[in-house]
Amino acid sequence: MARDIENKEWLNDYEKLKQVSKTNPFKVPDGYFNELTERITAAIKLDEMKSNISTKVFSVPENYFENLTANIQSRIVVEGILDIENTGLAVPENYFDELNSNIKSRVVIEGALAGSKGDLKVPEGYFEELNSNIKSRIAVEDLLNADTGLTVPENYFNELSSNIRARIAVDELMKADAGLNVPEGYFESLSSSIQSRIVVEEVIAGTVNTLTVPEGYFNRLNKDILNKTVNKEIVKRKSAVIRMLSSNAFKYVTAACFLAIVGTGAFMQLESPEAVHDRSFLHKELANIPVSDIQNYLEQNLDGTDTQHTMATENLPVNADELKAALQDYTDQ
Amino acid sequence: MPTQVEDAEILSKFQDERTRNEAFNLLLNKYQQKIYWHIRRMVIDHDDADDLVQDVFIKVWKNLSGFRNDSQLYTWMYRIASNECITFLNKKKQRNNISIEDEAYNLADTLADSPYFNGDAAQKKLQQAILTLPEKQRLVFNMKYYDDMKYEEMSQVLGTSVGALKASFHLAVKKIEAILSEED
Repeated sequence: MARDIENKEWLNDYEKLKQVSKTNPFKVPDGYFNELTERITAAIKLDEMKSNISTKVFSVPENYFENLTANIQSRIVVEGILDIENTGLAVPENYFDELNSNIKSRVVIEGALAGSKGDLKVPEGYFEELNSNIKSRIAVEDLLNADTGLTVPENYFNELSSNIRARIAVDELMKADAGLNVPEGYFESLSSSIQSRIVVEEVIAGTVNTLTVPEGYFNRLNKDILNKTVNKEIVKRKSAVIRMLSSNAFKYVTAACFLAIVGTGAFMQLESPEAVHDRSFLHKELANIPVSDIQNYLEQNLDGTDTQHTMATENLPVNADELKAALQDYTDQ
Repeated sequence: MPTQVEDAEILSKFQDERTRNEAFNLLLNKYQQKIYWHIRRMVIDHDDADDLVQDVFIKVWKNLSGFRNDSQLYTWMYRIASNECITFLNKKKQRNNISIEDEAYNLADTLADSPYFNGDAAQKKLQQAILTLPEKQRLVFNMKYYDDMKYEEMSQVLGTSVGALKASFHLAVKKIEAILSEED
């Protein structure tokens, strides 16, 4: 190209290009440039608003972006658990309301398909209870499947067998104690029985203390009894046996002994005057008066004649009333 | 370049806070179609061109107060538009992970399917030939062929020497002529 490229005639060197029309082959939607000014102005205002908003209006909490990753991951885990629960424990709306009729319909259809409709029988009341049975079964399955926090201590099931056996052994031992029974009303009468036993023991103990036997009495008694019974039987084994208790002589001797004992007792009941005196009121009253008082009384009220009179009337009976009155006067003074 | 309002007047009004919006409206009315077509020839698709022309004028609004009169206003805006086009096309290639050649084929398909292209067969063939050029060479060819820009003005837009632009344009025209000379 020898001539200046900016010459408008440069195109004459390129025949093919020169043949192409220079009119603008592109077009725009109708009215595009009429609105373009407004659209550009609006875009400028929008850009300014975005700049202002992003720097002045919105803010985030401190360390928001530092914790954002962990928060999102936690949320994902929670959402995942919620999705599992929703998908695992949900039934379509009105599912249980329609289940009964649906199952009946299914049974009828199955029966018709099998051609043996009459063979398909269910227990009486089966369909009436089926709804509640299924609900119960679902509830049980949910409880079994759900990890509801019902845990057992570590190694619980490993030790359960031995624990049960130990408990059974303890229960058996406790049941064995039940053989030690007491008669009915035993404890109600136990107190009085013990008191009676105590009285008896005291009586026995008192008898032992009061009723004594000579030393070696029971040793000799055994021999004496043997000599008088067994040994004597041996000597007279070949003689005739005499029944002493049935003889008349024995009866008379027994009666005589009885009378002798009664008479001796009656005689012993006859007391001497000293014994009577000892049990008299005067003796008892005088016994209660101190000796010093009696001595003082005698010193103040007796003289020589009294002593003689006393000696002369020593054997006379004492008037108890007069003596009591005299003594009372003395004590009142 | 025919001007409706002198660039100096626009810049003067833009410096005044009270007349800034008026100045910008004058600027839009004067240059929006030129900028749009410059972008449209590069990206082919109308919607992409619409987005880019808005982005370009937003940048113009933000930076016009700092504009210095060491260059013409329209070459400054062409420079912004050209950079936006190259940035957009590079992002598109990276997003689709395709080569320059494949991107040219995609743009050609877009051109063929676009309801906003009403050129004849020769014009369509010309556009397809232009799409085979490197991006910067396409910019040079389009500004010279369609906008009749001088090399000095193109130098201000692209930041390239006039000699380099002349050589680039020469290579571009030769390639396009060769393509147009090929039998269909």
